[in-house]
Amino acid sequence: MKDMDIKGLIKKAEELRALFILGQRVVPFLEELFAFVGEIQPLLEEINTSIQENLSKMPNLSKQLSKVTEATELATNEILDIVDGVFYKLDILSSTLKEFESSQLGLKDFFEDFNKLVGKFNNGSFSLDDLKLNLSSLQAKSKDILSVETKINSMKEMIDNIRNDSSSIMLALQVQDITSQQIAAVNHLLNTVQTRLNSLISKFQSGEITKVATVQEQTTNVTELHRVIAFDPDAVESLIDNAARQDEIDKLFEQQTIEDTSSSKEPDNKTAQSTETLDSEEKISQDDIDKLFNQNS
Amino acid sequence: MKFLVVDDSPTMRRIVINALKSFGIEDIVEAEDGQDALSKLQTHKIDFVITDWNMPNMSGLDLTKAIRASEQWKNLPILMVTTRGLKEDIIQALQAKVNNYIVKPFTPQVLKEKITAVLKAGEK
Repeated sequence: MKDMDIKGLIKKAEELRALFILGQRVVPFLEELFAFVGEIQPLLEEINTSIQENLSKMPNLSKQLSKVTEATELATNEILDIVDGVFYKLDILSSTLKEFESSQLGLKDFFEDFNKLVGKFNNGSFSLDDLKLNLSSLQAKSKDILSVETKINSMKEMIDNIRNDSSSIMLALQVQDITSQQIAAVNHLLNTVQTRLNSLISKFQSGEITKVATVQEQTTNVTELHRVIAFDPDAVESLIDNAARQDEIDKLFEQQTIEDTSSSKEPDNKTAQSTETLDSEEKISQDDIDKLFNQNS
Repeated sequence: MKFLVVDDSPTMRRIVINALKSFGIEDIVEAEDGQDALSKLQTHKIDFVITDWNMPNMSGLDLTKAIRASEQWKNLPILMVTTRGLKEDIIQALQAKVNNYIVKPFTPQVLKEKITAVLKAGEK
């Protein structure tokens, strides 16, 4: 063997030794890494599931908030339209009132002329010419008097209209309660998401993640509502087809009353019997409610 | 005739009270939830209850059940005004013996009709 070959062989052996030494050092680290990955896998799966669950709620939250915005905008525009209408009606009412005032002046003139005629008749200075002259004047003024009734009726109608407008405004203002319930529902969902994420993060007992989680917790607290609200998550839905739904609810209550009067022997089971065929998820109208309650009474 | 208006929303209470006043009803007591309503019932002689369903502390449904369970108030007329319009909800309201039921949003006209209907039924 040549000297050069032996030197090369020794060098290769040293390299191989270095590789073994490295392997000896790396293997425990790799074992530790495998163990860590094995431990963290269920946690990562949990995080994944939780993120998926929470993400699936997000479009719903977004949809609910959009509905709130839509409902608020709709109600605001409705109120503005009604107020515009009220101003228009008040203008008409004001001009009718002015006409009424002038008619009242005509009425005053009419009676003055009439009283003059009666006076002349009483003191004997009454003549046929006076009568002719005053009659045509009285006839002209009587038109104003006759129009008074029409004007009063028109004003009454306008007042009724404004009253109806006020009712419509009251109806639209109820959106505040309905949307606040929807916002409370969104808040509740956000709180749930936050709690779940916090519980996941808290599983990282040490290290940088805990620090991040603590900072995050301070900044991502879901805003507290100004008052405690018990909510109906479908509250905004009640703005749609409300009249039809109330009809159905009235019917249900009427139906209940009929059964109440016909089967008085088993009062506690009556409601269950009358409603057992109903689909509980179905929304019903006020008419149906009325029917049920009317019969129930 | 004294009315008790129970709703956790001050806006809704105001709307209901305004409507009642427009019907000529001036004697009105307010409560912000079921518990508050029960204490108001003890301190005032109430003739008619108008209640919301969703309220913190005690719901309108629980209030109705508490009223019906009481010997003193069991015949008190109760009108429920709520956003809940599912049949399941109506069934619960019927079982709790609510006298009538209105879904929000409502018009003063509907409120008047229902109050009249409940009072008429009470006369029979």
